[in-house]
Amino acid sequence: MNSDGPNRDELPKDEDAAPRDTHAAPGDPVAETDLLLARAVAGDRGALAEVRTRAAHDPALLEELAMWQADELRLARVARELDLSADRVELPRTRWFGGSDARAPRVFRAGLGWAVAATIALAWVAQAVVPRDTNRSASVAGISAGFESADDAFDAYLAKAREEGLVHGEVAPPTLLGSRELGNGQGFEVVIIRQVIERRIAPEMYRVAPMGETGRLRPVVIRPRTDLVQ
Amino acid sequence: MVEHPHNTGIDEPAVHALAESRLFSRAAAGDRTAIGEVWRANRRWIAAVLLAHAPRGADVDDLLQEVAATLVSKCHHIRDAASLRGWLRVVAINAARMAARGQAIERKSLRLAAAERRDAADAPAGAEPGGRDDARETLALLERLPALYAEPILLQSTQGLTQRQIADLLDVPETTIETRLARGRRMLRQLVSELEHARAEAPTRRSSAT
Repeated sequence: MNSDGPNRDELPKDEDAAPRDTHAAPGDPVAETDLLLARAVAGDRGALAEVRTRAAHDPALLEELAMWQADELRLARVARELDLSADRVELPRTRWFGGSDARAPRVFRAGLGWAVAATIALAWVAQAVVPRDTNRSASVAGISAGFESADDAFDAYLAKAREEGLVHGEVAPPTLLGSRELGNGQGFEVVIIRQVIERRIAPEMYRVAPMGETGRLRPVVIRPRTDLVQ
Repeated sequence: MVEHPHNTGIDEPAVHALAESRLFSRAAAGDRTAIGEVWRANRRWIAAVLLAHAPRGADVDDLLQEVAATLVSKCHHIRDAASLRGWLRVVAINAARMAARGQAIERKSLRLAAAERRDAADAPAGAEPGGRDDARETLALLERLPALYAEPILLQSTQGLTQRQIADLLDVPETTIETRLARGRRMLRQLVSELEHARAEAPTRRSSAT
């Protein structure tokens, strides 16, 4: 362990057995004021009221509370980074049950999964911006390679999209639309909406406009202007 | 089809606890979809535990992947689904300790890959006062706290867990968590004060040297 800080696994004195006093340094019995401030910064209204009452006689206590709250803000920024980091790590999709290679997720991340996820993403873009030919049936050949379920493919897409910055912010929790019992003990059918917030850049877009004498709707290409005045 | 109005009067925590219990049981039985859901629901606090116990220089991403791999390969051995969360914590701590033993610890701050990647793409350093640099600085300070104190602080402040929830996870009395939080926060306050003091001193030293 490093030399300029305490050993992280080092156990200090038994804090539970120690009495609580009001003027203590770390390692000594915990200060009663610190207990109060810790509760206050965690949002305990009773503790906040107690601090306010005591501050009438000890104004420095409010200043101390402000410092602790500033530390709490620092921790909130750590939380954002930590959550971003955690959300990028998906379960390994290879060597299920009994696999001894702990680095399996890396294999997945660098392997076929990315390509398939990218294919899915590209397919989505194509379907979103180009009007669909309803007479042509969709081909899904190859899409399922490497995935054992649609959930696996979706997870892979999310992981890849986060890496590429396509998915911004939180993916909203599923919204329950409705449910019904299937009968015969088969369980329930649950209908949910899964939402993903994406940011994409498209070279061109389409709008649908009536064309010709019949007024039939046709896609019209909208290309980005290159002479925008800033 | 049953419509679900916004306010159903259902005891949501109880429903959530039941659903979680069912999910854990399915995961322990080897249901892959359930294991995936367990991972997504728990990986953030696991990251906090790793951060508290990992040595300096360890990569939280790598350690998270170790835990994920263990979850996939071993969770069907768990007999009691209710103990899954505690088991995950033990796996995380073991991964952190193995990292401490198995690698030459570099003298650098614990890095979070997400922050690094955005560093490369985003605005110049210092453009976001109180933002990413501040988070890095705080990470470096947290690394100096004993894990005993860093863990409850991280679980409370970064994951929003209550003292009761932290006590359940760590399997210690709630009063112990209360004490650790107070003492840990006091330690963190002193470290921040020292850092700010050193920062205030630095320009003075530079100007006197010239």
